[in-house]
Amino acid sequence: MASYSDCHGCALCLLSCPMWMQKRDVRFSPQGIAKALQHGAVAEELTEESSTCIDCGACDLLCPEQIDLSAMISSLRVDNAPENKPDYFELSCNGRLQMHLNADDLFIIDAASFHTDYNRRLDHYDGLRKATGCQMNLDLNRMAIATGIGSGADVSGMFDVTAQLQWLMQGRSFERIIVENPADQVMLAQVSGKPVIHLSELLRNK
Amino acid sequence: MAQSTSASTPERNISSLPADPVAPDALMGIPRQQTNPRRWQGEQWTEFVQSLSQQDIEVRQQRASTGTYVTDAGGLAYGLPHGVVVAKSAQQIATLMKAAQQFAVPVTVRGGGLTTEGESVAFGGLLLDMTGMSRVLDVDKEALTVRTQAGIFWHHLAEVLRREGLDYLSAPLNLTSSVGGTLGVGGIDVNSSKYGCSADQAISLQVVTPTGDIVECSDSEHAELFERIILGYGQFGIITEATLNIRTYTPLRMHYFYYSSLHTCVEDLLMLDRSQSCDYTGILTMMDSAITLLVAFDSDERETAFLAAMKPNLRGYGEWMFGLRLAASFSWRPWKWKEALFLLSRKRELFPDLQPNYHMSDGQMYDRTVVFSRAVWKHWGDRHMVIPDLATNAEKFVEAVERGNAVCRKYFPYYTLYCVGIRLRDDHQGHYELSSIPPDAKGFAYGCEFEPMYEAEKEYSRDTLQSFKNEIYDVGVDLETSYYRFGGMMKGYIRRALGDTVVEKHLALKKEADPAMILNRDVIF
Repeated sequence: MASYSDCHGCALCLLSCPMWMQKRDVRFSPQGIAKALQHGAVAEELTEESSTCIDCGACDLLCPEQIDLSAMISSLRVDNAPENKPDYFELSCNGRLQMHLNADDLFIIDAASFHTDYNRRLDHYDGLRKATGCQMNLDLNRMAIATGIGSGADVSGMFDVTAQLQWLMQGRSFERIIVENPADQVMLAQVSGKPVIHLSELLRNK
Repeated sequence: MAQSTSASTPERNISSLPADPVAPDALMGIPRQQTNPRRWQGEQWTEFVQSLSQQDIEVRQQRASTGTYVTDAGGLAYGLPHGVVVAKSAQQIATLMKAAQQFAVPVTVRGGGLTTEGESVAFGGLLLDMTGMSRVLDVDKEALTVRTQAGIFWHHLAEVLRREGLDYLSAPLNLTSSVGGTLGVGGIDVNSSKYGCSADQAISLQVVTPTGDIVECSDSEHAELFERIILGYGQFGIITEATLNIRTYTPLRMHYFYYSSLHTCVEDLLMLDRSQSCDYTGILTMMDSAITLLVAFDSDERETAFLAAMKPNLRGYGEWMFGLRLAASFSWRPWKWKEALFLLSRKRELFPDLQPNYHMSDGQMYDRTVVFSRAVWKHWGDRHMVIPDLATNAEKFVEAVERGNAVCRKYFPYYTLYCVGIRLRDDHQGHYELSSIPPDAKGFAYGCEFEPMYEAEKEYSRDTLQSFKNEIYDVGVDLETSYYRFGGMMKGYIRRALGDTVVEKHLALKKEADPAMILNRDVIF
């Protein structure tokens, strides 16, 4: 298993890292943290950096050395017990979903669960996107742009969720937002000013 | 503080020198010995940091911070800065440069760190991390221009532009290159035969000079500075903002043609570029056995016209026909079967990544830059990226490629060549003077990169890799041409390739612009 010592600084992890996108400081990136560890930093010295990560897991997929970067970061936290995160993928596999989505929708994939089973799920979402014409919160790397809502970094105020949502929506034109994670609903509605509907609610509609 | 060997202590054995406090070498546990008596030794560092601190500029000196920048993408040059500043604004950088001039502290500027010869590695002094200034400032959809901070990665620029249905013109295939760094050295893409190098896309720049002035420059405003900054290898100023030409985004219609002769393939590339019938052209090889000519188009009309008028003139084959011919040629040469197996496995690994399902739709490729960039890292990335190159005019290109290929064959069982054409701007001849663009190139310049592909458990020594690079560059000297990876460890070739007159002229300009010779001091001069 590759570890932080295998990082040679290619910076690919920065490309989809919400923490880096917000801070624009390599310290706040998986690469910066791995490099700091290589040069003798200990967990106590990296508290601010590890607390700003929103655990979206995109970096794990981008790392050419296949370092488990998100585990590296969470191991630096005092409270690093694994969190049982709900998974909404099954709901998005409902065969009726295609009928309810259209080209004016922005579909918000739950990033953390998406990245844990990336290849299989990407095929599914890609098919959904092509079939319905809806937009999704995917970046150019085809990673999901996480909202960060409800993450530890959000709760502790280390991560600016409003700025993240503004980036997620920048330049996108849509009339309605569909979310997998119900926790995203309220904040997205506030920032976008558009109706935000949870998948289960959408599927209940006739 | 370690002091230099000097004329007053000639009897002192160099091995008795104290360890350099700045830069541990790549050999872990063996301290580097200071062998260059003229190298900066840390004089006035404390006063410099104090001065910056009084002006609210944070200098990070902890090893955990400086260690992030210990090497570049080449992975062969190692060095540590005394301290790091993350760029925040042009004003901050101007203040920093004034102090650096006053205290004669070297400043190394780094964007994506994608140099291969140590150009963005600081051997002491201050490292300025430009990625702190990496936001898009304005997109003008009418004029098709973008104003961006220069520390931005091309990937992030593409990310912002794509939301608006726009794209940059041309950029390096490796998208963690920064805009500022690229404008300083050139930047080649598979559409450079149409749009020119990335550096030629810049309309205007905000620059902090080595003495700390903030200047806006372009072809019409402070044109002399603009001329020196573009392709200037970071010698004459720090690019903090750039206005670039952009275009409407289009997906790509790709075609591949396969050759077994480098000579023929390069000739076809030259012919296509002269005809300007393609929007994208380039050559990518697996050794000199499987040579791929890539052509692509931004529109159905261009593709249709090419298929009707130009395709019949190409001497390459389709995938299946080429595969059959290759199999036939290997079948009676059993000593080459290992190479054949390598080609087969390489094809199986690489080809799906060059056309991933989720970037393809209706036979068109979306976000080709991401596809290529990820494939480059996955299949060619390594801890040691050794990519010597040759840049020539059109007439010398076939010979340069063939001679460079012979050098690759001599050193490595497996390697790749990557060739593209670069359309030149007549009005930018002055920009090209001390650069990768050879002085005798008219209309087009051509570049070929030579990159070894490392076997899983095979290590090559630094000496071997350096000898390989030298031998490629010796071909360049012999052909009286230039090369792209210009500075750092390869700067010894600059005078050999471009001559004393040009170098002395630029050195005099550098001394005038940077009296303390502190900005990116180890790169060129």
